Amino acid sequence: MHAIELRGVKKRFSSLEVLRGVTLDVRRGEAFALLGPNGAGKTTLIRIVATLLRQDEGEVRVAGYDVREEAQEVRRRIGVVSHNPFLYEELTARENLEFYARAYDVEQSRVDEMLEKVNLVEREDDPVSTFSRGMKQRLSIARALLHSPEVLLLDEPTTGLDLKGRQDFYTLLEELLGEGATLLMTTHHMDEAERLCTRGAVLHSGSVVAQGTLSELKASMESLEEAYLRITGEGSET
Amino acid sequence: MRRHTCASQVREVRLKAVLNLASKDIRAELRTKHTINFMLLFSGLAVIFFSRIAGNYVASAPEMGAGLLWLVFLFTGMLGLGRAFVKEKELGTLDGLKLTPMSSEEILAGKAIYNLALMLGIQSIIFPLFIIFFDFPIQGSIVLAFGVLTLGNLSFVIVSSALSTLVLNARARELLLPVILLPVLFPVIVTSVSALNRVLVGGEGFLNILGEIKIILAYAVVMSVIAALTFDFALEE
Repeated sequence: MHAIELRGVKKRFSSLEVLRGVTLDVRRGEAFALLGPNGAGKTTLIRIVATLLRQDEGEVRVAGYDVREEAQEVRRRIGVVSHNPFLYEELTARENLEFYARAYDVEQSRVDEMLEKVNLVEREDDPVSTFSRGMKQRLSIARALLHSPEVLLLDEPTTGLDLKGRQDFYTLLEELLGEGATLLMTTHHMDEAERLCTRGAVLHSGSVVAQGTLSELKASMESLEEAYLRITGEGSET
Repeated sequence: MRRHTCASQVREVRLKAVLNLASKDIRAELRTKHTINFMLLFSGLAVIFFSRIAGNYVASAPEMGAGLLWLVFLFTGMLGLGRAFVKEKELGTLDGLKLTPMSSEEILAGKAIYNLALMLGIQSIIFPLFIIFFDFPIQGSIVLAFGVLTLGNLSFVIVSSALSTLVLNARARELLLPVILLPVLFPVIVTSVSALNRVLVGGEGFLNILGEIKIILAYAVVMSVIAALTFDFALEE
């Protein structure tokens, strides 16, 4: 059984067809990159997998559970990190995690563990509004991991992070991968995909135009970036 | 997405999850006091304005008093109660909430309790202020009058909490909410004003206004069930 299975997923927003029958699988324990230009449908796809949006057609399963029929079960098994950290600015780092821990019915001791994991113990009693973007993103990872999810969904998680923030973030994700986590991430950064992911798919205008290991995607081309531009047809403009 | 029967929905609501959400909102509000300050300021000003404009009329026709008091609560509630969900939407934390295993009924109940806490805070200050500014001649029990107001406000927060999610994705949501709220609230406000008048002006006791209390309670129960049944769809994009 795959960690994530998508079969013929279609989504339309009024007259705009955002996803046109997407089919792909993410294996357990792997990091899968979802690449594509702006408007390709990456975020829509992640939101469907995360149960935040309903697909119009097709089937989506996470850890074997149907996202439409068994949304509660899916939510217990996923953690989501996006460019929006889903944190309450007025509350402290600890209060944010304690709130989410109670919402997930998780032991409060897990809050201490996660604060330590993301290196925020010294700032745990400071309001989130005083945090840098990088610190918020680290806290967001802690929030997403509180309930030990089987699958981590990352939607352009490094948007707005500086180089140091990105490096810290990658290190944290690499640790998680080492622990056997499954990652599905959307990104614009090819270096990010190459560093963290083993397989990936290129989404263009709502369809999967290429899929496979990152080395297969690169094939005979010099870099993943070049492959991406050629597949999506954006290379001709440059 | 999460379909249940009405009975199973009621069974599945976890009080712990509801109180967790309500206490998070209350703690955040007490830290910033953004909403409560504006609601208090607005309702205080409204009482002062009404007492200057209509104070003499209320002195000669005290039945007007309960209606004016409810107008203050209505406008104040419309100003602040929708914020509970709008704020989550604006900050992007609504998605964070929806991602937790909390059921939509638990989210609605948590937000309704937070809104009720806001309204009770306002009520505790504005009701005595109203009595003082209007020099209102109270004939009946002030505790009973406070209870009737609380019951009316309970119905008010249930309806406004549920309806505020319906307009979350609308462009002019602040304008749309009062337009939708007023007709839905009409029966409970009329009943509550009637009960309040009978206590404050008529000096009647609990047993005399039992009919009105039953109507307000039934309204609150019916609205809670409707809200629980429709809230799942209202939260969807």
